[in-house]
Amino acid sequence: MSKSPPIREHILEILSDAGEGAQKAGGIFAKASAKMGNYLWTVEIIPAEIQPPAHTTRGSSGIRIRFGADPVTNAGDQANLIFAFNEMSLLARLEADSLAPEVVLLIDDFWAQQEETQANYRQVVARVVAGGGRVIPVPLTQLLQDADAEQGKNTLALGVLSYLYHRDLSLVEEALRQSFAHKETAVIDANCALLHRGYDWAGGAVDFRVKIPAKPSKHPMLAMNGNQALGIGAIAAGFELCSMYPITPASSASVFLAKEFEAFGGVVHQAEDEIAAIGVALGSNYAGKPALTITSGPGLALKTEFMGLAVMTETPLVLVDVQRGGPSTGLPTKIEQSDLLAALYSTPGDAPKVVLAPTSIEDCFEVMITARRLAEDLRTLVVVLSDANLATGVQTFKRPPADRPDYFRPLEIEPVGTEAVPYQWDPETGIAPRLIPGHHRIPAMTSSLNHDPKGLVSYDGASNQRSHQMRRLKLNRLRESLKTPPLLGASQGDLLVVGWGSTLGAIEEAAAQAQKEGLAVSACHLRFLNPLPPGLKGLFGGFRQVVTVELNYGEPKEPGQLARLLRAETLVDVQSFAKVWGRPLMPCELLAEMRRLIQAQEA
Amino acid sequence: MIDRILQPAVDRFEAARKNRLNEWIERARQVFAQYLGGATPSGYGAFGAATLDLDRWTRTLKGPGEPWNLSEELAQLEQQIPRLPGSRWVDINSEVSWVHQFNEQLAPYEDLVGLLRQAEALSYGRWVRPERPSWQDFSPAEWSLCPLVLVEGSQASAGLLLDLLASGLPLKILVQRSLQACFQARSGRGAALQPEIDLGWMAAGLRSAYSLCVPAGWAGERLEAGLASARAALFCLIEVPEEFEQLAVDSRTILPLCYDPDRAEKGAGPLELIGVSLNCPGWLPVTEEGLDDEGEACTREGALTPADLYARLSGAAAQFDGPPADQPGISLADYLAADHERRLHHLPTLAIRRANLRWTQEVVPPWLVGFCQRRLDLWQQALRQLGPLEAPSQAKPPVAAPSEVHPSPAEAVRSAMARLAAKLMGLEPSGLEALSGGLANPTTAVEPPKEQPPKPLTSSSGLPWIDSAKCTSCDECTRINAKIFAYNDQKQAFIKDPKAGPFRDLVKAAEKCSASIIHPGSPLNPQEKDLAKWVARAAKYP
Amino acid sequence: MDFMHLDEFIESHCARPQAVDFEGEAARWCPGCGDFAILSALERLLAKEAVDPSEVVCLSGIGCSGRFPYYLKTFGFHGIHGRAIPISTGVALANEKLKVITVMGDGDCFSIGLNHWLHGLRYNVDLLALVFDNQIYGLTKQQASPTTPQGTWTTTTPGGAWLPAIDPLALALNMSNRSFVAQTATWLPGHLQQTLESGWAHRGLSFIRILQRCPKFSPQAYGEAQELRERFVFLQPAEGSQASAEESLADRLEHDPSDLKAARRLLQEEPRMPLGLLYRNPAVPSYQALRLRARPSRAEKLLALENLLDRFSL
Repeated sequence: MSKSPPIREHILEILSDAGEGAQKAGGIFAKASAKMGNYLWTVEIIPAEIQPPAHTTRGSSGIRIRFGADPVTNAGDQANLIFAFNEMSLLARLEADSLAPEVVLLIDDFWAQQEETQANYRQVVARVVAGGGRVIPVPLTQLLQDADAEQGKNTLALGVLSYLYHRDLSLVEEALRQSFAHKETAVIDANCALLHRGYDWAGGAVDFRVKIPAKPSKHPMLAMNGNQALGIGAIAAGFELCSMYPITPASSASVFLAKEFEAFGGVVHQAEDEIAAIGVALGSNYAGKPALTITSGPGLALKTEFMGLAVMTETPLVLVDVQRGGPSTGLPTKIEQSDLLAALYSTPGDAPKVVLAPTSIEDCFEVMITARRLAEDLRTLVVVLSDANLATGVQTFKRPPADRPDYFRPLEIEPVGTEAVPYQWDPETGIAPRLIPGHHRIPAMTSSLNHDPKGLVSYDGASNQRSHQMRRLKLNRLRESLKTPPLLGASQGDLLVVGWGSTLGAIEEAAAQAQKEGLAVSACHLRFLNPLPPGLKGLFGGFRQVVTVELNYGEPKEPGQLARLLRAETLVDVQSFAKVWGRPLMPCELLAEMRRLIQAQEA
Repeated sequence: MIDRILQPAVDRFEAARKNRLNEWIERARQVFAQYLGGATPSGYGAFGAATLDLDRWTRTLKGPGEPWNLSEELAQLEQQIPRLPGSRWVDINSEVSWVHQFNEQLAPYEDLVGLLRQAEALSYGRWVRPERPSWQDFSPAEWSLCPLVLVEGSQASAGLLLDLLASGLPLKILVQRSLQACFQARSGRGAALQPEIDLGWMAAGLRSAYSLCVPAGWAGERLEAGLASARAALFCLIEVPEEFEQLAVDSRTILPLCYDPDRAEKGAGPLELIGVSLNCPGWLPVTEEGLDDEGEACTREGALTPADLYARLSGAAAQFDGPPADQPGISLADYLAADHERRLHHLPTLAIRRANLRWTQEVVPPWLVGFCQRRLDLWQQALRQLGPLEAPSQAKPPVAAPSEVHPSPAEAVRSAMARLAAKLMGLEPSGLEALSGGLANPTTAVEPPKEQPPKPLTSSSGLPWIDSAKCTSCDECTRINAKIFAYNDQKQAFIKDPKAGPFRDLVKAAEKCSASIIHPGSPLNPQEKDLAKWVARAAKYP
Repeated sequence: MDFMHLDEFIESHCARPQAVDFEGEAARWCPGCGDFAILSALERLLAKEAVDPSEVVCLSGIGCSGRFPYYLKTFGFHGIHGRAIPISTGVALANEKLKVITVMGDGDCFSIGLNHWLHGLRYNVDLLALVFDNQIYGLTKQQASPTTPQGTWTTTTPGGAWLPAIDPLALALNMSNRSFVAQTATWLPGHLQQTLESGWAHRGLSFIRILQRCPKFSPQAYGEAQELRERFVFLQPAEGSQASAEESLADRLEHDPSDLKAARRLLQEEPRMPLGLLYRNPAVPSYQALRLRARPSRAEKLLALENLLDRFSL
């Protein structure tokens, strides 16, 4: 048995056909690891089809677990260890360039013995070996047959992995029992037996082990994915209605709420279409019940008219867009950050709105509280741009305090005089008191047409100019109160990378590595996309080059969406590193780009 | 009477009020407790704290506006509770104006209610920014927490009392007087209204105040309801010996009423006449046993008048003018109903049953005749005015469609009450004369003129008309001529003035009318141009 | 004078709001427009029900009918084309105390908003949903709507409307879970009033199609007034309600509004257009009744949040 190298973190992928339970096994492994005190980020590898053909690259389903002794902020680079239930699942990841050259591959050797698959098996495994990887065949199917079981490859694999990574088997078994809690005792016991069988087999047959240091946290920790965090955040923020229409990858947030919301007096309304979904949310907010709508790109497209209505009628409204690949139906399950300009500008007419982007799972929780508050403060639309990476990524973070007073914020009924009118704009802030039917005694008119302070239709130009001014003024005042985002690194240097949303972790990791290598690179991350925080131009002035990092399509002459936005904002020649590979940003690829850019500067 | 009737009611009110107050404050404390104890948060979540200069932003929004800084206010409230003033009497003749005394009394309750409202809103998940409400905006439930402000009204003039009632301050005014004292007010125009007896009716005429006018012994629950009401209240309590209470009412000496403007919302009418049968427009008939001149038992049938009450109430002390001498006597009731000619030749008499059970006929003195006349007038007037009247100025459809006749009864009651009050308060000359005439000269007393229902307009009368109930309010006719056509309060068209425009406009309107309900009738001005043409076109709308 | 009825009389009439109390801005439709009749009828209804104007919300889409909320002195919301029902649904879900009136035109409801309308019938949210059907787009000047009769000249169908019109009543009746379907007409104010009243009283989506004529672009819609008898038939009024005065103007047909099959059959077999209550089922729970639960207190919510976070706790 060789001694394990001193490694602080590892990236593990478990791959199988859909339905074989790789994700479940990974979830249990992650939970046990988190309990032992590892930080982690897990992300599911999801086939786009519900019943993809088995034993094909399209059917590759699985989970990536990045876990380590230090906080983990993103899904990381290529995998260090892969447990594949068949060679086709593996091939899909190989093609996606998701394997580190020195990867350790565990693979069910059953397929090596089958006539119709053995050629393919050998070929795929040979590619791994050729790249520098090490292969450990596992008789997974055989072990299952020996145990006289039909299902449970995933639990066997979990046992093998528990041995390999020195997991505390009692914690793994506890997590497994929790995960199977709704099943019959016989099934649970059988799975526990398989777990031990896998563990014992590995103990006797595998001479490769990795020890990832783990130290249980003093602070209570949570682990959840971004859509669950959005859902819990919506609950804590005091939303009482979620009006939605099913769409990937946003649905899981609403689905989560559908199960939990009623305990808080909340309702998930599944509307007949995306348009009705936002309409119901808008109507609810208008009448004083905080409501939100959750969607993804194609849904956002359909909601644009209502987004304009919320801005025009100055009705508070929170819209969450869990971005996916576009345009049109695009890549439903894959990450992109390509709805930025649509969120800002897709509404016809001038419709200023607030656009926020959470950067981590914890942010997904917190942003909901901020979004509701700002929507009500400003009486306008707040768009929250999450993405598929956050939606499915599970991260550990500190459990927020039990009784934070900003939870369940009550609806504010502003005292108004009897002469109040619905659009009595304060000339300094542009904000008008909100008159709510059933709560205020003054019947008021709300109009989608240009209106005067009384809410009555006004066609004259001066009135139109004035109401536009007021709607813009609100955001201008908010902008004055925004902090200039902090810099990671020196305030002067060769390169500033600017990102937004879920890429924060990967960018910071790459920047920190670059700084270690002595490169004059700093990083800056935006959470407010509209209004943009003040001081960006000054910030950019300290660097020879400013490059945005974003997951949308960009070329040197047609840079990414944020780059275009920042060019207009700062008149600085911002370039972009904008890619649409349909997977989260890898720190290593950004690091390579940083090196390349600085080399190019020197040349 | 204050000690006997009012004070116990006030004490009961106070006890119940303090219970309510404690309950509300306890509830508020529980709600606030959920928001207390935590550090003041940003309220914007960690995301907001990371991106926003929250001090600056909350300054921009003008004020922190957070519900969780209530500890200070709650502490103040707790300190205040023992010092919250209770119910008290206000001296209307004091140097300090009663408005000031009232505001002083209520001010601490405004603070209290402000805080309770915040708690109430929070318990429903709503946050109301702190604002001191004015007692004018108090809900009935909030009023039920406030102490009473009482006025002893017997020392003030009727005019001042009505002023107080009309002021909108929810004062509770007590007016008390003995029935004897009412009978003693014998002469003078000022006494004609008998304010002590009729003040309740005047107050009811204001329509905004709670008004109770009863024999003192009948006050009971209605007195308590008046105290609990959020409105100004007048309690006109006439002290009558218990055995005479029913008689005082039956004889129409007291017309007992309770007017509660809020009762309409509780599902009944605001006006309640107490202990009175409404289906007798005159005196109540009465049958009494006694002995005739021969000492034989006999039954006498007559009408019950205030004079009967006066006679029994005062007993031997009653002043009557002896049996009729030079002129024949007729009963007081007959006399009051008689015409001028008959009155000239007869004296009004009252049959009085003496201690020996024999009847004697006594002539009723003129002041008492006048008193009885006024009571009868008021009774009949009240009934007539409150009865279903025809709607004022409402154009009517033809008799052929009787089911469509729906005057606006609410309007009728409203105007009737206003007119009654005006008459009672002497604001309407004819009413005042009708009432006071009886005193100056009983023989000139006249029945108030009967309300003439407006003459129904039919096609046969030649006047134009609209079947208003079918009007769709399409504005066609009012656009053609807004002087002829107008909308009633149901927003249905009627003909305001058929002479306000040419016949042509009537015909054009009939043709344009989307509901075909305008009937132009026949032309009122034979000189109108092209009349033959318009008459021909009008024929389609008979 | 009938003194015995004094109390009853005062109770029923004193201090009641009047129709004019619900009048908002001065209405600006074309002279002769049927919208006036609906506005007046609704004002009378609100007065009769003595509702608090601040607890009524009137919502509309776009079109001539869209102006309705301005003219009613209640809370009003003039939204966007075809989307009045979703917004109304949100309002109704937000506060059960509110009475919601949704006003739409034929293009608004049956064309761009058809999806919301049909699903609205199925959700059965407690709304008074009125469709002003004049068979034409009026505000945009005479384009064909889904109810424009085949062959009618319009600016978008210069050769006459190509397609047969839709039958909103049949569509409504065939949607599952619908609970109230009625039809009336602006030129029958008494009938209109009664229909609105029964819709108001119903808990669920009360769909009322109100036939009207556009004085500019469809003055002949539904035939001339004198053709009433040939073209229309009144349905037997609902139990307890009186026949309106106009019901002598055309034949009356026995119809039990609780009988869905009979209602469907009637639409198929009766050549005349029915006026009155076609279908009503008070037993269908409103969407609010199905979905809304009591609001827990803040303390209860905090506890529930703790329990929820426990499940994600390590």
